[in-house]
Amino acid sequence: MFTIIKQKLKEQRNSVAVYIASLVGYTFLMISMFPSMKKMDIDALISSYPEDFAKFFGDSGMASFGTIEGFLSMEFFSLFFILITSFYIGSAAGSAIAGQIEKRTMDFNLSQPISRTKLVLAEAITALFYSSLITVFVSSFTYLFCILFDVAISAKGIANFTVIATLLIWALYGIGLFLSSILKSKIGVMLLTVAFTLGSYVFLSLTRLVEKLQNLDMYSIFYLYDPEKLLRNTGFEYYQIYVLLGVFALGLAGSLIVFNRKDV
Amino acid sequence: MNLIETKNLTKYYSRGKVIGIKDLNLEIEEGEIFGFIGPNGAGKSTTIRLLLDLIRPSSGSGQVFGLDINQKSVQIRRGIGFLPGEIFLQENMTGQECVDFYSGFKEKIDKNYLKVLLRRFELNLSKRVSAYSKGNKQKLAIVLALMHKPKLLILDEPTSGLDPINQQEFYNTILETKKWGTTTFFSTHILTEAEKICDRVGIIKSGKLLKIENIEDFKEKNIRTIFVETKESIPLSALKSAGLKKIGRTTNGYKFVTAGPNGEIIKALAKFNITDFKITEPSLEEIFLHFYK
Repeated sequence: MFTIIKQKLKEQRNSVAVYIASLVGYTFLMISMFPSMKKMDIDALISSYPEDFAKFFGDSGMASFGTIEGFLSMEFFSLFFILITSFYIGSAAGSAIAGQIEKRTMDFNLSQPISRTKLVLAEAITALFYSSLITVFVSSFTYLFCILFDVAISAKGIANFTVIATLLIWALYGIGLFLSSILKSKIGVMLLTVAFTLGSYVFLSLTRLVEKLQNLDMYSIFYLYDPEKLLRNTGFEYYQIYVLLGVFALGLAGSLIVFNRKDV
Repeated sequence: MNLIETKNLTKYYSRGKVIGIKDLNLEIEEGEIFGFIGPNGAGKSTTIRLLLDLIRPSSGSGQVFGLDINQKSVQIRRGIGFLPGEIFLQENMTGQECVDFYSGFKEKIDKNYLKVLLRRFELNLSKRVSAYSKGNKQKLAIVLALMHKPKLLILDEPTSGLDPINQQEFYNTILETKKWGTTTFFSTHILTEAEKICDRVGIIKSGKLLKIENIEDFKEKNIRTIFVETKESIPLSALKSAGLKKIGRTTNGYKFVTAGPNGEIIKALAKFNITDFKITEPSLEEIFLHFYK
């Protein structure tokens, strides 16, 4: 199992470095823009927009665009950061099972003395490690850039955000891994994982707009993830951790059950 | 001791519509080289994939090293070297990286033997798998299967893509492994290959094992195709000799499928004005049609 982990860490190292560099670069851009944006009285501008437009973006609406937490949440963390990371997660999940069967490298790998469970777990550990690394790097540099541009932000808030964002990404990985066990194509898994991510976000937004859907907001995975609240250090509920970990665990367990019964 | 044993091993595909193999009963003795001969789609690869637990049987059972192929597959694979029918390795890895990666799964690699194999097959490990030709990928896969000196070799059409020189190196290598007690189970559709190295052969067609024969009995059949070029019309009654299984016309002459010694037929043909003749291995379809039904 460690042989596979070592190989996968090496294989994905460069692409993860690109993800980290790009996201850190985008973080720098956003935070560097904030002082100028703050001076422009964005709040007054936004309050002139229709109410539904504000509702689409959640409880915080756009009224808090003038705070660093609201600004980063709106411009980066609410969707963009998760969506970009979901490309990595979807690709990693797709490669774990479907990709290997599709490329037929699974035959040689499974002819080695390793169980199917350990094979998948090795892939999962690599993906969880790298996805956590992406989140930690982005969070850490967010804090550093805020210091650099003399913008006040709570370190505890950054830590809260890191925990929940990481668990959200892990939950998406669990879903992707399950898809990988039932689908036959790596690219299919990746696209479906990204589509699920985007779809969940859009669904949550719709529940805020459409009265009939208002009670269904808890069915979106993004219900458990409010970056602005996390960054403000209002803390998080333990149930968020349990549900996100539960989604990951269910996805992983489901993928193992399917893959262990599958003809390769 | 039987190293491989199957009991009514059966595999259907497409929800029972396609037979992979049916009621396969096989016993492979420790230390022997067993050839599994059959045309494409006969069930050779299905059998191999079942033994390795890559696919699951529809019914029946199998044991390798006395262990159940489904329940104890990890333990079984510790003692196996496997060569798949088509080689698919990580394209972005070099040959050396492949060796290092797959070595990580083995308890012990004989580094001196690895060097011997690399020298014997003249394999350059510095290239990426994507840069290897089909033959070099095959050689790399052979090295990966053999480098840990496994107790059991399971090889699916092992000489596919190899030039004649490397084919001979491969045969020599397999015969060498027999000396230290390795059992080899390999599939092929090349008769002469089986005749060169096997102790026994199993003939499989359409998912059913037709016969298992000692190689001496198999060789004695001496199944051959003879192509004769002539402008003369040869009366077929002149050629009725023991072992002549099939006579057919070609554009330039005749084609015969024979079994046994060919001395009598050569003597009979010598009476006619033959411009050329060629003796080859017949197609598997012809072999099955005339000798194994």
